[in-house]
Amino acid sequence: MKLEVRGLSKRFGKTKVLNSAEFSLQSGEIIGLLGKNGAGKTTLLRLLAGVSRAESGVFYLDGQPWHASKNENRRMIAMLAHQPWLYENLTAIENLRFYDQLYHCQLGETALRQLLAKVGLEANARQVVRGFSRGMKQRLAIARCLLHQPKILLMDEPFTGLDDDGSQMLLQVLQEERAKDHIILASTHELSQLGTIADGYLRVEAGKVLAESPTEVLA
Amino acid sequence: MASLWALIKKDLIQEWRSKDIISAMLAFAVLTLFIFNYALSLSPQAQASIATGIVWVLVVFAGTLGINRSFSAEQDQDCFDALLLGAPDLSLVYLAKMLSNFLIMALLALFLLPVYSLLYNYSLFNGLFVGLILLGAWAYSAMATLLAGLSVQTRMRDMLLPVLLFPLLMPVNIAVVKAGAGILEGLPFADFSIWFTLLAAYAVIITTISSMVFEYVIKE
Repeated sequence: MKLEVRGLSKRFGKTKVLNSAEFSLQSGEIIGLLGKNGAGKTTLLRLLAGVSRAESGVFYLDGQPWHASKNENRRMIAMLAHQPWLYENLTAIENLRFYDQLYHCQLGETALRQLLAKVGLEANARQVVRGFSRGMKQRLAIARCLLHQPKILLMDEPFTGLDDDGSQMLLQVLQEERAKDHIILASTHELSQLGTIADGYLRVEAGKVLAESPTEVLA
Repeated sequence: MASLWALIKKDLIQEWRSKDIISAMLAFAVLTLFIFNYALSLSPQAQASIATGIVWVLVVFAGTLGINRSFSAEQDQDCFDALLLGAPDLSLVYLAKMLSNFLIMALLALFLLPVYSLLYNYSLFNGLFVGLILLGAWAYSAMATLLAGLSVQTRMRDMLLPVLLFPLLMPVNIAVVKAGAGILEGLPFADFSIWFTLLAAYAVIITTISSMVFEYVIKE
């Protein structure tokens, strides 16, 4: 599966964050998204997810025109954003159950608990999210992303708030998703984690998106 | 239907746990009702023409207080984006929020009726009157939910909702007050049925249009 982006532009007021950006993402690869603060990494992820509207630009999935905001396409995508997209007055398991029903996954209680176990929150299943630490919310948000087995995984600073165990868990999850031949794009400032498994990088700079190899980035 | 129910259940569980909306609405409505009780001493004849107005003003003002907060969970944690990605159809998000708001409004109205009856010694327990208030609550929720979705994404959200909502609610307010007075004065249904028709038409039209345009309202 190959997602190609052509002529992607986005402006906020007079500031042009992306200017005819062109790049492609190949399934079965973990791609790191780099760039300075305010370069447009989050904007790019939101545009790819279809939760933000582009000024211009077209997407192609395996050569066919593709619209992220179409009903049938939206569910191919999962996004791990700055905010965890969790309901604070629901428990961890209730949050997953809600998204399970929203996506019509029908995973059942056992599968949801297995997902919680995978992110290390099995013992916190019945705790209300309001009492969770930042790292626990991030773990639950990762579980939310994996729930509907998305083919395109977009992650904005996914290691934020995670402790060493959490980071190892996320690295494991990313490698499993790569093995399933999914498209993975994760923005990061911290290469010590993602750098160990990334297959390539995209750098957002001056409105353009440039491809870089691991050797170029880590040099 | 499963997604719609999941969205409604999520809102109701959250409200049951936090009681953010219902507690503010009930406190406001009861306190205002007490103030009206001291300020107005009404003869039984005046009750028939004024009772609906008092009850409806409380429902609308208390409702606005609550509906202003109805999207706060989505706003606080950016869950709008999650719904944009996950909901099979974005009109379901509107319908679910509208139904949740309607249920909370209905609860408020059903709480207010016995309190009013007790304070004013004037019974409002009339099936048609209760039906009118619930129909009005549906029409109100349909419009208010759409505008709350619009205003919640602005910095002036607390001010913007009433400013936009109250003018657009004029047909609902007039219909409820006119029909309510007709019911309580014991007029034949045919004399005020036009107001019921207007109210039902408003509720159906606004619900339909809002569910169609909601996607454009909540998307950036």
